Amino acid sequence: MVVLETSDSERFTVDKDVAERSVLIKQMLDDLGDTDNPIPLPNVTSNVLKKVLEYCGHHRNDPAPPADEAEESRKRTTDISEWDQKFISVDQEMLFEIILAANYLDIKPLLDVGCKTVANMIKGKTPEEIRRLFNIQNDFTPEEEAQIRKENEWAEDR
Amino acid sequence: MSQLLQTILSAKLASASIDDNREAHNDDWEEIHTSDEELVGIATAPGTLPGTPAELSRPTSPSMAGSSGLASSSFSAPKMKSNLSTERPVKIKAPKSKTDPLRSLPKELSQRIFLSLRVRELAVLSVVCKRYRRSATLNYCWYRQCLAQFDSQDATANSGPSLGSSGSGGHHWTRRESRTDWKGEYIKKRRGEAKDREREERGGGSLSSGYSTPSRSQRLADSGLKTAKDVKEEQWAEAAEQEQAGYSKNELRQYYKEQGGSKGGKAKGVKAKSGKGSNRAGDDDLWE
Repeated sequence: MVVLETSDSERFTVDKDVAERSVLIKQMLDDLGDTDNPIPLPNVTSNVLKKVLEYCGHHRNDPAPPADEAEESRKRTTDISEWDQKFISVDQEMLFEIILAANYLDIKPLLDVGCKTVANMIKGKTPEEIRRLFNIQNDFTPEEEAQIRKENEWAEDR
Repeated sequence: MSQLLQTILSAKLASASIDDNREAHNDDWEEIHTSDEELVGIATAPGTLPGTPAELSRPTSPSMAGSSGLASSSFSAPKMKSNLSTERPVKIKAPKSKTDPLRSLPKELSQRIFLSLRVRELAVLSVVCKRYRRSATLNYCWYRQCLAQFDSQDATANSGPSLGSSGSGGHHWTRRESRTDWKGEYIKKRRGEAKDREREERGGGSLSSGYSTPSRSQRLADSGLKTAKDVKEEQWAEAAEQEQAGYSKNELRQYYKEQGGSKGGKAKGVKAKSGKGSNRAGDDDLWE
């Protein structure tokens, strides 16, 4: 078992193979050998780590991902498994926190799921819908916006 | 004993965090300096290692007192790094917008997201707001789309400006690329294609295209001429490059290599291209 300590000083005790889905933690454990001391994770809060560990637990027996994943497979944003889709159906704030944590803890498959999910959120939306989605103010004048929409006609079919 | 272990652990963590510091770095920069950071022409090149181009770039302008102060303080010393990484969770807690990927995620991550989008989705994003239209990260995505869609045709097609260093066998995101409006380039290419098709259909007859007349600078650029503005801007860009030649040449080359991956090639190729016509047309409206 491994003890992880979050930035808000909460401790999580998890199986080693679950914790080691994180390359960062795995490397630390490799370097340290067996230890009962908690591993501090100052960049992760407890509510995020809880989610991340849920993912790691479910994927604890997955084969290690290929070392250098082809960029192409990253581009396909549809291949998220059903469980992962359900798992990542969280509010946007949490989604971004999970992405940041996955990046920090170096959990590539989770990072992938997170990034693909954000990309999927953007797809098929109008500019107005995206503004609402990301909470962004439109600072274009109507003329400017019309101009950009006009030039966008060249990009509509691709 | 346990104290000793604790020290080792935190030392480990600190070094792990320094690896991670690229992101932390970006966060700090982006949150305090958000909109300017994203403007093309001022920004550090996405896809390069964020730390160094930021160091290399000069303070943007005297009027932006805040930004130059920030630049000197946050990039001054490596010893700050460990501080940065411990402060990071606090900073993440208080960004302006937690729901905007361009603001709340570091550049590598938002780039990763946007690179998976198609052209029409990038086009929609450019209507969202000015920051999105001029985002260096999104500009880089347009650049990649241009490479993917037009590069293979470049050898045969003769319209429009060349996409960077096609002659040298590699493409590199250089300062010059980062200052180019790649969405504009993309649209120009598409217009060029449409014109070519039309010309073929009509047997090269009429001049009227059915599309709105391009601006003077665009027409000049299309025919390979440079406006005075283009010439000046190129001179400035070169002067700026030379100013930093002291350490930028080798270091930047290193970044390009890492970034360009397997493609290799010469980072210099782009510079040698200046004879081939302007890379920067179409930027009269929004790009300074």
